[in-house]
Amino acid sequence: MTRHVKNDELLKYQMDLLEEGKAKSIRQHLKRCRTCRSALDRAKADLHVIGGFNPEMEIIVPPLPTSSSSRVQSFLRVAAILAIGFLLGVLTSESLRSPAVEIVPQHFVGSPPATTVGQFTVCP
Amino acid sequence: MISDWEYLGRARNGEEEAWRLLFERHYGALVRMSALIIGSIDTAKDIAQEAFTCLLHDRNEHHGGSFRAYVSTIAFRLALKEKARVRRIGQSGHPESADDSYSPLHSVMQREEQRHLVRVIHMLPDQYRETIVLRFYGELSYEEMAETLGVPVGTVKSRIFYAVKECRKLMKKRGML
Repeated sequence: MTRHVKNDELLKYQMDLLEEGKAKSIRQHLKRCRTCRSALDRAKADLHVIGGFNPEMEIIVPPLPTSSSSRVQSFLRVAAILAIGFLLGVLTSESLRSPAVEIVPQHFVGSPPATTVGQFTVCP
Repeated sequence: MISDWEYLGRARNGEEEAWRLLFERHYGALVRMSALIIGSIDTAKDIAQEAFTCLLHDRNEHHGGSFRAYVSTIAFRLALKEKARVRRIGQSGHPESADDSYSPLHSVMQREEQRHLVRVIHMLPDQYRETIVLRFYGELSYEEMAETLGVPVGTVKSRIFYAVKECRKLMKKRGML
């Protein structure tokens, strides 16, 4: 290849759009042609500008989201702990139960209830 | 060296550190990519975050190929979906609801050359813009782009070449190159 490489071809070369045979001949030409190397550098710089959109922004990492399956697992775990606690409570209350207290009713023995008016005392 | 795929596995198992590392490594690129498609940094941030959540909940095994390309494809699809939604809202007679969160991207850019670049990329036809975004910001290979866009590799190569050529032309007109 003695003529200069066209700009479009250089752009394709830089963007890896050419077949290997064509790319190889351009590579060999570039070794001995300063003009084409400069043109290639311009293409590289342009591509760098096109890919250079980089707005300033603060990256705040949010907490790791929990999946629905892990939420279900957490729920089941809590439910299991509660069930075990309940069973343990029932079992220990059975074993530690104190003997029943017998309550004996005590009757008050006094005068029989009044049945006639005369039997009532008059308040002063 | 631990791969991003491995960090993803750890994050899925609830490891906060792996999640933080993946997020810090790829979030910025996803925001840039989404912002160029939909034209709003704030919405792009939401899309990038949603892409990460999708990634975490996706139980399919994808341990081959580039992690960046994979997560970029998720964000790209979400951004296109959002863009279509906003267009629908605009067409259905409620433009104000679309405009609230869609401040023009160039207005929030601090540096002038960045504003020019955003304008130029937005002046491109959709197909050209999408190829530029996937290649330069999503870091997808031509084969991965073909798969994402549902077109042959030859079409992708042709589109990206003309997209870059058009971009260079517009940038030269604006004195950027």
